[in-house]
Amino acid sequence: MTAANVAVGDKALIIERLMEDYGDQVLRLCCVYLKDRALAEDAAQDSFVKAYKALDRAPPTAGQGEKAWLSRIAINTCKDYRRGAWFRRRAKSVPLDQVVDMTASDGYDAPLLAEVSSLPEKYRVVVLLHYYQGMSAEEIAAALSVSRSSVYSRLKAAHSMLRANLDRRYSDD
Amino acid sequence: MTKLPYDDLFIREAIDTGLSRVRFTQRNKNEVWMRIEGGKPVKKKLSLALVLAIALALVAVTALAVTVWKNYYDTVAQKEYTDGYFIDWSAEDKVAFIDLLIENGTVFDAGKVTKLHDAGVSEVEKSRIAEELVTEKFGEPRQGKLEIRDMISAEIGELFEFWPLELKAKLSELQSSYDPYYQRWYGKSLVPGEGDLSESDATAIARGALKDTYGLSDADIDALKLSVAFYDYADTEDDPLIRAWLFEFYTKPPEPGVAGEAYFVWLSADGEVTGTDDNVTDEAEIVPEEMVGIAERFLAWQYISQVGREKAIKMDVRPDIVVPDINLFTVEGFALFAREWAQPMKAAGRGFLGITEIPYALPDADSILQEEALAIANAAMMGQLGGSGEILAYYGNPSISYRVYDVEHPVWRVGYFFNIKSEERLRLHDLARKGDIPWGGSVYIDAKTGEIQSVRQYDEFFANNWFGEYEPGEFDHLLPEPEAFG
Repeated sequence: MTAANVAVGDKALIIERLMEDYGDQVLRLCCVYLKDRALAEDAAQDSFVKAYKALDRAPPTAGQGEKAWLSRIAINTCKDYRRGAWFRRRAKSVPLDQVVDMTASDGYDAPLLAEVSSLPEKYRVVVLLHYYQGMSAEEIAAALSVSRSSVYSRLKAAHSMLRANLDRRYSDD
Repeated sequence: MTKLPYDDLFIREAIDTGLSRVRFTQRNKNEVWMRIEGGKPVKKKLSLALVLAIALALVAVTALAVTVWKNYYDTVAQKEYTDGYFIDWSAEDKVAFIDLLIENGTVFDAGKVTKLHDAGVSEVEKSRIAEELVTEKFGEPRQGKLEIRDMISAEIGELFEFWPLELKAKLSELQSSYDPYYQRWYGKSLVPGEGDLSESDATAIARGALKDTYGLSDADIDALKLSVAFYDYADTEDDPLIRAWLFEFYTKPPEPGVAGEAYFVWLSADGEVTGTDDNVTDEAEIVPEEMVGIAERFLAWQYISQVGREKAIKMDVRPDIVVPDINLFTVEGFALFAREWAQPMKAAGRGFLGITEIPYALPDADSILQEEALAIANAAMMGQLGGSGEILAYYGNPSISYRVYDVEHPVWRVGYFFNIKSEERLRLHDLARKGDIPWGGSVYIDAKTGEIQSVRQYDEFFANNWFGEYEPGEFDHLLPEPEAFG
């Protein structure tokens, strides 16, 4: 076996493990970001393909660094989809609210999920990365190519929107 | 009762629970492997010589609609499809590409070119030299690996986004001629034809949408750098093509490795506005530089508070980074916060936490000791919990502070929360939701006499707002213990 073959084999093992460990999370992250199950599946798969290709140049550090690295790839993939032709492709889409398992929630999870997914994109993405993927403001700033200052203020604004929307939602109940 | 849980655990739980049926299945994994291992049809490596022969045939039948077009673009596009980006080509093909560039008029360092054809130079070295020459000609790649877009951008001095529609369409046509999935994955760029809106008419509609949505003036819009795309796409070969416009009005144009900031407007082919969005950082979003440190520390502090220190430490949000000079979870830390941080945060309009309103202070000499206050509070809290020290342990180390709401009656306040590692918190949250244990609680003690002023169990709302993230006064009707200080 050549050195190149070993490297390819290692990459395969790494990607297989990443899909096993983070596949669900990456798919759900894409799902909330794109608000569409079918697009999210494409984006999640695309993310792992890109991750495989990126292993040559920028292998992640294990643990949290690995998760942040993968999240960054996934978010950038979603951004591409969001901006490009794919996002306009609605004929075969499966909207998020059709895949949410209402029976599994205990009465408030679903509204919270709905509110998170209804945030404007730039706020939704920082909430997902910070609260769902556990990324630091520094990591989010790097992933989104914005300043840390913007990350903070977007988190703050997202909090305010969630708070206002959830309060209104429960008041209406 | 209003429930406003949105810390990380609740959001994670909401997403994981709500989307529990959304799983990355074996089918998804298989599709990933199919694409990695050659899911694209005809992904067969071709030598540059063969590619050149095909490219020449293509050139012969393709009218050069764009004057900047170089013959070698065809070669690169095909090789990108069959072999990947330039960096991944064999040394032999890299050298052949340098020769092709020379044939097309590029002048390289003669010494380096000679080495490329020197039998005594290793393949690895030839590969390195070829990469060096290509980088000299085309500059650093936009996204990690040099690709045909970088080459064309370098030739015409403009990023892909801002190319004229004709050039986008020509490259798109070329790439889709080699890649049958191109249209499906990326959409195929077009030039408006008969029956389509003209670019200027579509642009006028997009500008109108920008004015309506964002309130921008003509002058504002004129100052933005515009990217226009017109394309069609289809999910499969059997589906009808869908045609659309995308306008990106950049406030900050993209740079290598940076996406840029823009307002986006999508139009259908007949000019209907189908969507608007932006990733623009507003002025109002920018935290004043002098406040960044405070905001960062607060968020990290809040984070540690909510997820538990163990996890925060694992996530490299170390307490000594969060609060380099003090431990905020001590009486002294709270007092220092009230003295030095609270007012600047409020003055800068960052009063996003009720904690800035809390009159933390250092204890008077004639107050009971902190240890005494803690012992009193623990006993009181255990009374609330049926005398169970075991349950009390669920709440970890209580948060203790000294507060002066009334100078005549300063108080010790001891707060109990699920201040333990996050995994355990999820289980305790379940117990609390069932009503088996309280969400937490607090004990206020007269600092002079040691008399208990109030003992309170928290509800879910307050348990998720224990550092008062809500605006001061916003939820006064829900705040605990107002009667204690009346």
